[in-house]
Amino acid sequence: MQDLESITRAALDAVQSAASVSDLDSVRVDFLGKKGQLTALLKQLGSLDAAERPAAGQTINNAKRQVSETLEQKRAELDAAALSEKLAKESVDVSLPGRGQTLGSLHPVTKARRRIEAIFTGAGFGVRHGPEIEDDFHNFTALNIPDNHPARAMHDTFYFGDGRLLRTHTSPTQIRTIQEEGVPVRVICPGRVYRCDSDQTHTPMFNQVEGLVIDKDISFANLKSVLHEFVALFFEREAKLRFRPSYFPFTEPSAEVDVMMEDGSWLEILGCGMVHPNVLRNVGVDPQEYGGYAFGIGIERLAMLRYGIKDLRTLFENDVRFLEQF
Amino acid sequence: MKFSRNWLETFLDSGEHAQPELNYVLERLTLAGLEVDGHERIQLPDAVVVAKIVNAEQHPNADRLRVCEVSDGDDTYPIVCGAPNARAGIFVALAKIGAKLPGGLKIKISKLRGVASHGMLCSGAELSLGDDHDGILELPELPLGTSLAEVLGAPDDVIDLDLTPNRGDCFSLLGVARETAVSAGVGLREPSIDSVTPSIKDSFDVRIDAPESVPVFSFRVIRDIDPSATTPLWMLERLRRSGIRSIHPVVDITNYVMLELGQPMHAYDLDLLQGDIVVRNAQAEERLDLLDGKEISAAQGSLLITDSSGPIGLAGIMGGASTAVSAATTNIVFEAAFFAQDAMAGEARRYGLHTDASMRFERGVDPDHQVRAQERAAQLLLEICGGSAAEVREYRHHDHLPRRQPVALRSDRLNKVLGTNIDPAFVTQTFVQLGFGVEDTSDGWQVTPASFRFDIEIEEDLIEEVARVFGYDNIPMARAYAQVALAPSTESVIAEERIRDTLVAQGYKEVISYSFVDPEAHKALSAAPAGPTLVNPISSELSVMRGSLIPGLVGAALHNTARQQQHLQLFELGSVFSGDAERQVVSGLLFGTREPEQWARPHAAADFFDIKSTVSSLLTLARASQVHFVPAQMRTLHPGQSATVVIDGVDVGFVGALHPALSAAKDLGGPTFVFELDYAATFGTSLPIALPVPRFPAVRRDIAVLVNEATTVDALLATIREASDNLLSTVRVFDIYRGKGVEAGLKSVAFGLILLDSSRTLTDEDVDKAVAGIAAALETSHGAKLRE
Repeated sequence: MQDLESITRAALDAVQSAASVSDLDSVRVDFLGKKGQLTALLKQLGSLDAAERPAAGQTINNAKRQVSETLEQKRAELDAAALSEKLAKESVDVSLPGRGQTLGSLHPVTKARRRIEAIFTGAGFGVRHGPEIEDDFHNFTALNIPDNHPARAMHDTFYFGDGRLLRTHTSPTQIRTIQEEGVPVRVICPGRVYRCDSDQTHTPMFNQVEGLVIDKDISFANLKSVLHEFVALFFEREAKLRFRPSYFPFTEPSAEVDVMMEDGSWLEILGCGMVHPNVLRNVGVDPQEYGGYAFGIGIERLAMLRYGIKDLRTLFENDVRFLEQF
Repeated sequence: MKFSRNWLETFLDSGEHAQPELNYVLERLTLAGLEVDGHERIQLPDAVVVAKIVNAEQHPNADRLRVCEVSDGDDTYPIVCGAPNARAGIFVALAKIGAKLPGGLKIKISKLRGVASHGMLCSGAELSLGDDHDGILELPELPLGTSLAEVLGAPDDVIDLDLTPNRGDCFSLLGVARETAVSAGVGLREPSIDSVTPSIKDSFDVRIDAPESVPVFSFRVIRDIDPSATTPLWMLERLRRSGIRSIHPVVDITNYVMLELGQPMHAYDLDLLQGDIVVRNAQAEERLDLLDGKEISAAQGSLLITDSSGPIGLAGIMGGASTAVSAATTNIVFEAAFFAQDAMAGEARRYGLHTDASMRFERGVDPDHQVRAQERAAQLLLEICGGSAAEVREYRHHDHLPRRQPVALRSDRLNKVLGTNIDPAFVTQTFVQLGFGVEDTSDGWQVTPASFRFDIEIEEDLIEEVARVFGYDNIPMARAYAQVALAPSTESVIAEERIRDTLVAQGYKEVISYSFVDPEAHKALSAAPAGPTLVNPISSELSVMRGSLIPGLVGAALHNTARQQQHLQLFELGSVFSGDAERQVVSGLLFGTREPEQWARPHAAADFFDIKSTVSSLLTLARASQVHFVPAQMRTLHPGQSATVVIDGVDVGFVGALHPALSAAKDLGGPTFVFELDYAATFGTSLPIALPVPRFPAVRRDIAVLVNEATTVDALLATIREASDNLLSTVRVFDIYRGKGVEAGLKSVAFGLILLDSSRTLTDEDVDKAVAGIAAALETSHGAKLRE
């Protein structure tokens, strides 16, 4: 059995020195194949005593198994090395930018409007739209602002000279909603509005969301509650609000609402109040039976606070370096 | 309404307590609905005192300087002064050594051209008392050495209120004091006004021809005033702190009374009046020279004060120049009227004359206050200018006075509207403090508004008063219980937000541009006409309503290309206008490179098919099936690169390159592609109805045909579909080739035909037959030759 030992050693050496899968294949043929050296030893078993045969056979088979396992192990090593080499060749600079289009952006006013709509629709408010070119009745008269009322001066209206005008608020949409749908009503009316005013803090066009709730048992306490919740949800933080008495012809009592800024100062963010009985009467609703609240929010103001925009006018310059930040 | 806090405090009675703190007053006023717009501290250094120039001599080394000897009563100081009015005998404001002036200047001994100066004589501007830099302040004769702060009433604060149009009663110290008293919990001290006993008789008379517009008109003659009298410093200061310039002692007094009581007054020079005064409505186009030097033509119906010479004043707005008081005036007439709100409404706006008087009359002045104002003015005038007063005469037309009807307030209603439970005693007390008449009733109160309040007519007005004084902050918060019906959610229209999101996903940035545009730019850039024209635009560049969003997008593109942007993808979704119609459209613009510059693909200029793919994806979103892009001829678009978008035979918009000859296209400096789709026409949609997924394999066959350049792919596709015998599942255009091997004037179009039968596997024979049929149809209809 001297032979077996030296042949096995030679086989294991050949496996270890194999540099490729094909080298391994020739090792297999040389030692384990039909005409291989270890296979040849098995064939010689017949020349042994019957009593020695089983032990000798087992010894040779053990050697064959050892060579075979070593060989498979080596094959796995060589396969892994080959794969790594292939993968190394295929590697790319993953820090390079992706190919193709980048995402565009939504205007910050749209983003803020969507937040406002999401918050109110979640509470069962409908969203209504109306025309931007309005008539005097819907924009003023129905809202308890008769001709020559000093409040008209507050509105700086754009006129077309034929009785039509650019709406100064989205309240006319509320009037149209009650006219078309009746009461009770629970809606917000977002949209563009226009005032003949242009300076650092005013643009002649801006966006508003007005809200209206009319039902049989609505109070100022409800209005306070809904606006507190809205502001906290919009800014995702508890916000301190201050309700100040103010004057709007279409609400009574009326209030302006300030939010406390981080430095402790107050900033006006919206106007609101209980719907004036004349407004209800103008659309055929009995103010003794029904009442409610209304509010008006400037979307630009909220967008500026939310997104740290310092200058109102940048919202309408449409500079892509500004737009792409949203 | 701007006023001095010290003046306000003269109307407040805080009893044994100190006057309320400034910040408390400001907060209480704001929370009572009188919004504080701002406040400014007025402070004067102690070391500025009343002094007198004893002697003034020319500076030895400087032509424009004088060396003055100035006495403060105790000492005399040498002071070098450059003011032209520095002269011996006048009383001046001396800033002594160590004084720190409002501007920060600290007074030290200094040498000016070799002469030492031991202090400084101050101008009004240097003491922050106005903007008079021309010379030093000249004071009236006052005890020498008195602190100027004491003389002028400093320290003080100027409070500026932004009043709402319903609170005309707060355009006076008395009105603001009433509100302060109620909201800050202190007493109100009404000014005590004694009647001036008439010492002369006067035959002067007035006739009111428009009593409905002039329910109250009072006047008083005062003769022999001292024309050399000057307005006292304390009054000047109070006026100045209210933002009113001194004009003449008589005018200053009318302004002072207006600020104090809220009653605008006017003074005429009696000797310049011709005949009696008649108050009447203007006939057409009556000319009048006003006090401010302007000449107006009074519109018919405007209320005029006239004498026999014609108009001498625009009632309630401004007096005329011809009867104005001047330095020579010795005899005057004071007017204090109540002009009705209806008569005043819109008048100031009509003439562009928003005066202190018009502002008050428009909002309503107290119709019970005219005689009181006359007595106050006469009292001040006699004190300051001397003279002899006749009696006050007053025309009062009771029928035309504003009515103060009692208004009922129900306790239940009050608490229901506010969501509160307010103590009835508080309600009664509030109305009393506001000066209203109040009586208890079985279910609440009967309230008679004060004569100075024009905004109390209905129950809600009273609820607001109670809420205001109760404090909005004290009203609780409560969620409303609402019956909420589920809201409809349609699937027959694609929501605007979905369109925005789709465009953003394709790299487009949303812009918002003004709905009014420059008519010229609009005309150049939009084939659709602009909408209606504004009569009062901000500027001519913003004067017509847009009929298309393209001009706005091109404007935005120009803004950005002027700022080195090489690639632009912009969109807007908004209203456009034409005549009476208003509709929503969505528009996009693509400029420059196909995509933002990157490393992986060659740098390519955008072309028609880049923007068309965006349009197509929007149409896919809308599930539009019968879509055609029909070559368009639009003035604003490239004739060979533009199409009308047609869905089911209806034009819904367009897509194409801006016409390169447009000046805006030239300014952009490269091809620019735009699209515009009508929202309602494009984005109505249908529900998907699912078909089963095919169970049998599809077969693909590619064919290429040679056709004339003029043959559109759209037409070829239509033929292919028609000829496909229902086996065609999809057809793709995968190549367009011109050049070697293809005759000039022809093009090769390659189609991938994907064939499928839902009931069986197609045999080669089936496929060959179908493809042959398609090829034959292409040849018949378009003369197309199959390429081998």
